[in-house]
Amino acid sequence: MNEHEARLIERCKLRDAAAYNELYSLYERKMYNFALRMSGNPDDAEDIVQETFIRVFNAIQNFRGEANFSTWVFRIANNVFLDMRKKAKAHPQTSLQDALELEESEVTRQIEDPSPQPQDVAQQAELNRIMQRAINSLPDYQKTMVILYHTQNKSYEEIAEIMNLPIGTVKSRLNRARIALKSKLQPIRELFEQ
Amino acid sequence: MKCETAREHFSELVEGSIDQTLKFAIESHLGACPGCTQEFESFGQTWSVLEALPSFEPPPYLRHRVMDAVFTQPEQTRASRSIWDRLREGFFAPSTMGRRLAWSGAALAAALVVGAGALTMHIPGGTVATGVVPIPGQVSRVGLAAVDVTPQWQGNDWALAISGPSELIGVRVFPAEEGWNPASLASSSPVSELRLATGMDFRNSTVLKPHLSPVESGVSVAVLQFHSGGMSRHIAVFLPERPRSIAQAVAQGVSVRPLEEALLQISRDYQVAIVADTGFSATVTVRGGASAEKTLESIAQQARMEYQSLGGGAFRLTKI
Repeated sequence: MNEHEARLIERCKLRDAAAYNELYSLYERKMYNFALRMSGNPDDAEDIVQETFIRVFNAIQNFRGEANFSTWVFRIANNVFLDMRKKAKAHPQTSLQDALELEESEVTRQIEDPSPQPQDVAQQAELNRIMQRAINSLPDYQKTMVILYHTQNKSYEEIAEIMNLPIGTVKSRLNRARIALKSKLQPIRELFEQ
Repeated sequence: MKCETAREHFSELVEGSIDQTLKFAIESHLGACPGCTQEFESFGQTWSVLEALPSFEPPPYLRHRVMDAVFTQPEQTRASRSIWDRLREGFFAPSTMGRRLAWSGAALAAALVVGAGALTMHIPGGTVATGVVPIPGQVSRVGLAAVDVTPQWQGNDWALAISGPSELIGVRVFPAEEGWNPASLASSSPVSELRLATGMDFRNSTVLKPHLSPVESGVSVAVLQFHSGGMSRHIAVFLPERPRSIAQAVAQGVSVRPLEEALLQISRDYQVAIVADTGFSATVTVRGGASAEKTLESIAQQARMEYQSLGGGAFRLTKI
């Protein structure tokens, strides 16, 4: 946490809307990408981001600086995701669009590379989609670790702190998660080899 | 070494964080075990795909949605609410405001003026600065900027205000310690910020008039105009220091017109942005039109009435 961020946090504790807006700027993209990868769905991702920032705003008075602020925010975001999952399981909903996609063995719909896709990048985009589907099929705890490590550049130490787990557990579980992903990607191995 | 043991250390092997003795043992195993060799290759490829996953732009409306949600929570969920919280809520209520100012940035937006003049308001409990910002239509002129900021705002931060085709899209503060300078603002930040805020791609835009003033000069306003797809956008950048003189600002490349003249030419709607150094922010819409004759005082009067109707106290509005 740098000095500027620390000052912003102190201003946020005084309910300074401008500071909170600025703090949001620092974390918006990280939170959105984390939420999008976790949920696999832009609508849910937006809900997660919104709820995360509400909780951050309401709880920032309690942030004492003992943990890294980023770690604290990611921990909240992960809890928001888990809460939403729990709620969704209690009240399952199936959209027509989801049902159609499942028929076509498409688990994810929205996460697609937004960049132009000429022939030479189409394969990478396809790999990204397949990988996202594979990530979505992991247990939540493994999914969180994979996303934090590979898309948010979090260290094992930070992931351990975010998930409140021993670092050795994080390392071993992440290794197992990567092996699981490898296995899930095996059927399309020819794509990798091209 | 058993295959299972070797595979438990694949991640460390890829990362290079593995103990040398263990590394040697695993590599020996891989040399003798085609199955594990294939598994390790496949593992490395999986890792590469994970590392290449793209990052996504949040949708441009997300900030407004989140900020609205944060600041319009039910009272019992708020840890504490200051008078400024309550005032802000009052001003941001859709029923009382014609439209919301799409603040994507800081409250320090106050002094931005593009195409009009700047005001400063004094209200009980804090000093409030205002800016007058055109709402609809394209930017017809560039450099029609009044040079002013609230003198009560002390600091070295930059504020970047982004104006879209129909409203002020947002303002963002760039802390001085982040090393922003006029060149970096001109070359990258406004462009990417505009793209984020509008959802439009300005990367191929032409910077028509990059009037940026050096920080050292003390000139507080600079205006950029972008032109893309037949539409113009403008950006004003200002510093929290008053210019030494209008003449100096003009000499630096910022075109300045008298405040009253700018306001009398109001032919579009304007928003008066009210932002306090306490974080309070609100807007007042001033309707323009072909026959509208608005003056500084008439706009001030309207702002005063709206402010008071929302529970605010009296304030004094002064020209700088």
